[in-house]
Amino acid sequence: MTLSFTSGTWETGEVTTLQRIQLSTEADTDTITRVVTKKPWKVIVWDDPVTPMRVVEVIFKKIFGYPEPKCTQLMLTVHHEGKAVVWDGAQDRAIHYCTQLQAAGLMASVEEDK
Amino acid sequence: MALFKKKRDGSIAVHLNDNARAFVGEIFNQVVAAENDPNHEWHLSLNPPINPSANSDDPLATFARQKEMASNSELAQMTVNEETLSAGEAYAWMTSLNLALRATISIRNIADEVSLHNTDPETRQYIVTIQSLLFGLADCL
Repeated sequence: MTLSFTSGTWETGEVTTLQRIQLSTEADTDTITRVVTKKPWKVIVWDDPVTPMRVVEVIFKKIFGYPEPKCTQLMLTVHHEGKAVVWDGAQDRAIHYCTQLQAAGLMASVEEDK
Repeated sequence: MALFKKKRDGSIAVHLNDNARAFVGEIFNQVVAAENDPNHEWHLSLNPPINPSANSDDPLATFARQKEMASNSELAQMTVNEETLSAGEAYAWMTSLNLALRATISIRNIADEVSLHNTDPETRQYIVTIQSLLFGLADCL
C-alpha cells in the first residue's frame, strides 16, 4: 500500500472503506429505484360472441374477489369495447391471474404497460 | 323446472335427465382428453398464448394453467351423476362447459355475432345448449 499526501488528506491509492460503503449504498438505492419504477403488467380479457355475461361476472368474482358492481362494470366494458383491463400490477401475479382466467374458459392475455 | 337450483344449505340441486347428463358427461370427457392429448382438435384452443408478444410462455405458467383445467374438468367428470353439487363442483362444471364452448367457436372460426348466426344449425344448437347450462349454473354461483 502506498501513501501520499495531497491537498491536506492522506490517500492510500485504494478505495477507502467509507467510499466502499458509499458505493454499496448507491448500488442498493439504484436497484430499489429500478424495482419501484418498473412498468406494471396488464391482464386483458377479450370479448367473445358466446360466453354468457353472467358467467363472465361469476369468474371475475371468483378469481379476483371483486364486489358484484365492479364485476358487472368490467364485464360490460369487455362486451361493449371488445376488451377490458381487469387487473394490473406485478408480472408474476398478472400471469397467474391470466392462467386462471384462461383455465375458466375466458379469452385473456397479459401485456406490459408501455 | 330450472336445470340447477341453489338450496338453502348452499348446495346446488341438478335437475338433468339421463340424456342431459350424458351430454355434459361427454363434454367433460372431451375437455379432459383435449387437455391430455396434443393431437385433440380442441387442444390448441385450450392452450392459447399467455403473453402474445413473447416468443414463448413461461413453462411454469402453462403448467399451472394445465393443472387448473385438469383438476376442474376431472372434478366435473367425477360428479356428473351427482344429484347435488357443492359450489366448488358447480364452478368446475361451469368452467369445463365454458372451455368446451370456447374450443367449439375457435375450431369453427366463430369470432363474432355474424359468424355465429351463419354457422350450421347443429353447431348453433350445440352452442345454445351449452349456454343454457352455463346460464343455469352461473345463476346459482
